[in-house]
Amino acid sequence: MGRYIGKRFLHSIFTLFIIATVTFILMNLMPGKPFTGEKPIPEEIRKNMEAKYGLDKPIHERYVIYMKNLLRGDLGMSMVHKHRSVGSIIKERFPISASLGLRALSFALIAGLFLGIIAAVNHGKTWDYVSMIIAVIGVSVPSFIIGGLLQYFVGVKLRLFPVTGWESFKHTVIPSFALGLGTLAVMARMMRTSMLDVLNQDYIKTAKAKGLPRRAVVWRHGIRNAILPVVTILGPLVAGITTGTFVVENIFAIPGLGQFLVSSVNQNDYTLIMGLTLFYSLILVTMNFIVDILYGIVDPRITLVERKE
Amino acid sequence: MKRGKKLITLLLATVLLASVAFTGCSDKGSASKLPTLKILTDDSDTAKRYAQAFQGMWQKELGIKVEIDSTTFKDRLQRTQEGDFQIVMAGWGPDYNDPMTFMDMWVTDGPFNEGGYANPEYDELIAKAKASPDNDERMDLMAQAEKILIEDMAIGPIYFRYRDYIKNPKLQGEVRRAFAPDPDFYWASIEDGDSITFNIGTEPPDMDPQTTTDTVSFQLLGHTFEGLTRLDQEGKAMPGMAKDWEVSDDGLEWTFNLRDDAKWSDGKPVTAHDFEYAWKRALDPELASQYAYILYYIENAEEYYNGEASVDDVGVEAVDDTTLKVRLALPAPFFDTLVAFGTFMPLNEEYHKSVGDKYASEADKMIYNGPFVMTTWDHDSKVVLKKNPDYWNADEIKLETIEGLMIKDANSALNEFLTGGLDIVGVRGDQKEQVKKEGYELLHYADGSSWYFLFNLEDEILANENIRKALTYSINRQAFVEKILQDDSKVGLGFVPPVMPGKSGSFREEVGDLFQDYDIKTAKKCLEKGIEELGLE
Amino acid sequence: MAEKLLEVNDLKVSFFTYAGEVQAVRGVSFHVNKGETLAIVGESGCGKSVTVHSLMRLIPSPPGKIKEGSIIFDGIDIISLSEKQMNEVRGSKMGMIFQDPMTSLNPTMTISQQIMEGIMRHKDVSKKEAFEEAIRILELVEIPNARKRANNYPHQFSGGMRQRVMIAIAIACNPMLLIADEPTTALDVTIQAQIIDLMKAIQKKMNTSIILITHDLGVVADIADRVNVMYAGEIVESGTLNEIFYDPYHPYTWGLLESVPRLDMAEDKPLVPIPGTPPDLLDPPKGCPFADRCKYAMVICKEQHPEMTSCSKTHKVSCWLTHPDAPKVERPLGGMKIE
Ligand SMILES: Nc1ncnc2c1ncn2[C@@H]1O[C@H](COP(=O)(O)OP(=O)(O)OP(=O)(O)O)[C@@H](O)[C@H]1O
Ligand SMILES: [Mg+2]
Repeated sequence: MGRYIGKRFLHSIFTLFIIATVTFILMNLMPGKPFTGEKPIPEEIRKNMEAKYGLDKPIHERYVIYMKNLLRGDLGMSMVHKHRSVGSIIKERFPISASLGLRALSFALIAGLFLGIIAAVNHGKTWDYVSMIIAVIGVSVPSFIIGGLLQYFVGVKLRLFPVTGWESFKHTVIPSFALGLGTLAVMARMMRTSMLDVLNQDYIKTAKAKGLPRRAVVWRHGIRNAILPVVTILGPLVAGITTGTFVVENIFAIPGLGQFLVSSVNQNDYTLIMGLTLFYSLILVTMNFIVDILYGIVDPRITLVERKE
Repeated sequence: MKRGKKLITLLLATVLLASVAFTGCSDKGSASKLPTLKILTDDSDTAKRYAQAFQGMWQKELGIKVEIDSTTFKDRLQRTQEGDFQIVMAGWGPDYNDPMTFMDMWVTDGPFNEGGYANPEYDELIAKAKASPDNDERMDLMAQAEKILIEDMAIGPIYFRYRDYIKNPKLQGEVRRAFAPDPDFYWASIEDGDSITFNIGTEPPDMDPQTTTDTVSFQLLGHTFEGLTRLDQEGKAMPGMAKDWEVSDDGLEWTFNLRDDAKWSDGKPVTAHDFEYAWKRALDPELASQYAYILYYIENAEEYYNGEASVDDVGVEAVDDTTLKVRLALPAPFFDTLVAFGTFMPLNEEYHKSVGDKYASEADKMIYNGPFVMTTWDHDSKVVLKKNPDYWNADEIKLETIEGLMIKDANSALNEFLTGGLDIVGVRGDQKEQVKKEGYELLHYADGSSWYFLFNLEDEILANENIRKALTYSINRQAFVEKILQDDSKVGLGFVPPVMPGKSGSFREEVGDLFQDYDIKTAKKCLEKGIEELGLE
Repeated sequence: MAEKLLEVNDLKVSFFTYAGEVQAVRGVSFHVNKGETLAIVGESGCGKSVTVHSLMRLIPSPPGKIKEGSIIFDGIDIISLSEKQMNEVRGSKMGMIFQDPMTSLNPTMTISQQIMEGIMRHKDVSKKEAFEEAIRILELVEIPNARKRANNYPHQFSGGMRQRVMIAIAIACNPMLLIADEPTTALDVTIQAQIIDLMKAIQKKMNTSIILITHDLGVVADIADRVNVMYAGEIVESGTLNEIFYDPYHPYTWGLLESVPRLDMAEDKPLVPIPGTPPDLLDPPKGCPFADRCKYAMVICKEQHPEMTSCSKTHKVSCWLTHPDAPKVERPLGGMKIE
């Protein structure tokens, strides 16, 4: 187990290093500078600003400087938010995105799995169709449309929930729903397929032949096995949902980290782009790692220990 | 049913296409000889829609083929700056309340002259205007310069932007204007209360007055800081930290007399030294402030920034605590409005040294001298401004609290307004119908920007004045504003927008239109001439 | 006189699919006595599994449906039971072993859990007692080191071991009837014999009745008391082991016996598979279903379905050749020896 984790850790570091390098190069190929705006900047002022931010140096020199700082854990200052360090932006903003993401994910997971199971258990019957219609809507309608519609009808017309902001539990309801719906749909469909597959397995017949009531067969023997393939996509899903918060954050004016993903690129905020890319990659890598371990726990056939000869 | 509708639409489109092709054909005579031109645009939907409208008009009216070259926002800016374009729609907003903020853009090799326009006659008029302390004379000179600019068709005017907004009917006295702070709540009040909420859109990226460049920060600074003067409801200078000021006859020496009861929010008095310190700081090359050039009217300011003069040579001097003497390099009769601009806000040296790098990073890492102080700066979500009881004119300030939310999405902002979460909100063209349906009265204001075709005069084809004229004259601005912009923007038949002051009223009104909108006859003539001159026959 | 444990009468089971009604079982009648072993043999797809699954009401529904007939088990009318009552019978009075031990065990539960589950369902015992009982049964099915291995997962066992576990699950509650649907097909030869021996041992110890489906006539010879030969959803011949092996009447039974290798067969005698394919159960023929493949078929065979006729008290066959007016045909097989 220890050796396995160690190996995975080294792998991850290497992956992050490659991502950092590629991002650094691509980012510098992007047109514009952090302070390119509608108004052109007089030549000598522009040069002076570039010098201040070290942008007058050739790219390889900047790369070395960046990497050195990175090794010390210093992500630098944002080039657009003049008084904020990249580290502090991530530290302040990520918990909110994470909270939004986790709420959306828990909702998507619970409701998605439930719908999938209901659909599979009632295969070919009304509930199957109902849940699959919900799933299709969830997959095909993007979150900004769902978000916008809910905001207008539930927020403005019915006044049930606040329209924007992130202060109380009430503020979190529509955004979490809007963000989670797509994932819910994916979950429901996957769970349904997986569950149908499992319910056709021989061991379900074995369980039935023991005289177990249907509930026990479905729960004890069906769900646990059906959930396995769903667990494998949990990593990308968690990462996707936490990185995919920017649309919802934008609509509901939620002060999360997601919005910076888009704005940093639009504004050529180099240090922030790097910081966010590395941070989100780290999340992705960690998530996949956690899911691997989780998978090992759920599925006894998978063992993380390397076999001793 | 649906299919039938589709079919009809298809038929219609075919007919339209055919007619366009037909009109194109009738003029084919000359236009086809012109190589296909390119209009550079952002890849945003709106920008593309605008470009398509122009493309269609040129095709229809002149038979000129124009391709749309769409790219990312930043790339468009970069390519424009590098001169890698033929035509691009560009806009300019004023830095201060004088036509000069527009007119000095196009001097030969000027930093903002991206089209490469060069006309010694124009340069001379601008230089003369800058050197003149007499306002009427300056306006005449600028009017002449603008005539030449349009006669040469260095740029092709399109429209002056106006924007729509709605507000809580209880809110009164807010001032909309072309510069920060907009909206200005100095004179605002609200029935049955004293606090309002508005949308600042985004986090202010930099609240340091000497380095910031964005409208959000300037908006907040306009309420929490005060310069020597501030802009009144008409955009004229009114006393601020200075209770009065004198100008020498040559217009070069300005003396500002500060009020002696002006205080920082930490209780210290605001002195002339705070201004000298702040202005010299803004010019410090080490600070690398983007808006340093705004201070270039001051003697030796540019030289100091470029390392050709020392800081002591800069023409700002605090004679004593309440007297600030400023020597200008050129007479600028509008200097009293210029000092109301954010970059000119004071900074107390002692306080600044005490917070150092952290200055302006948080609400409590600043001291304020304006009508409001910022009490809360909840990053990326909201700011709260509270009335400053020590402000010299506090009796006139009616609002106790101004809350600024950061809602980026225009629809969300409107929804927030509709639930009563905002007291004032901007309305986009596509939201107008809904707003009217909800029963709100649409209000308008000029945001002061002028929009025009920027032509690359170094381009082989566009170097030809007649081609540029043909392109400019053939545009149906009225239709563009009504059908495409769908807002209250005004047709632009000159460069300087109507909000800029002239001799006594509006510069634009005093000068009048410089050409005719949608003048196909002249456009066609120019086109033929241009093609001839280019030897494309 | 042997006591009947199970009596099936005119059982008809169909699957209603998009293509139409698949008449998988078309009126079978048979019985099983207490403590005896009944083997069911027949080609693939002839309805063996459907028949025995019906006994436990494990036919997937939809699309499957028991259309007609009665199943009387230990005096209980199985078909009329509610699902809840049926669950009382499943696992406690009847146990079932499936063909593939690799897929018949839940991969995410330990084997003791899987055995205990049935015990706790049907007996009023504590978890601890159930565990002890599970260990006892695992020892009974000869899992070495049972106590230690009880907490292992199925993937940690070999195929033969897993089938032992399956048997353990099936007999956990001491059922009166053990149904084994091809329990040895997926196992290699040496293991097959062990499993069959185990079943025999258990039967002896617990006096269980067994219904065994198999393709392996060697196994049949080894364990069965009586044999049902099925073809196209019907029982075409049934009798004691000796009657079926020594004195078969139905040409299909002859074909079956010819198509499998046997120890007592002359070495140069070639194996003869039955030519042709079974009839389409979506639209079964009105005459004898084997007629198309039968080299002794007469005109009547295709016209009219043969009646079930008794050849002895225990031996029944459904074939026109047994009709007094039918021509005498030479049985291709010589006498066979069964020890
Ligand atoms: N779920 C089902 N849906 C439709 N038809 C089915 C279903 N299950 C079985 N059948 C049909 O019923 C018939 C009998 O199948 P059954 O499984 O009983 O055969 P079998 O004798 O057990 O064959 P094998 O030796 O291959 O196990 C087959 O024709 C099969 O196609
Ligand atoms: Mg079978």
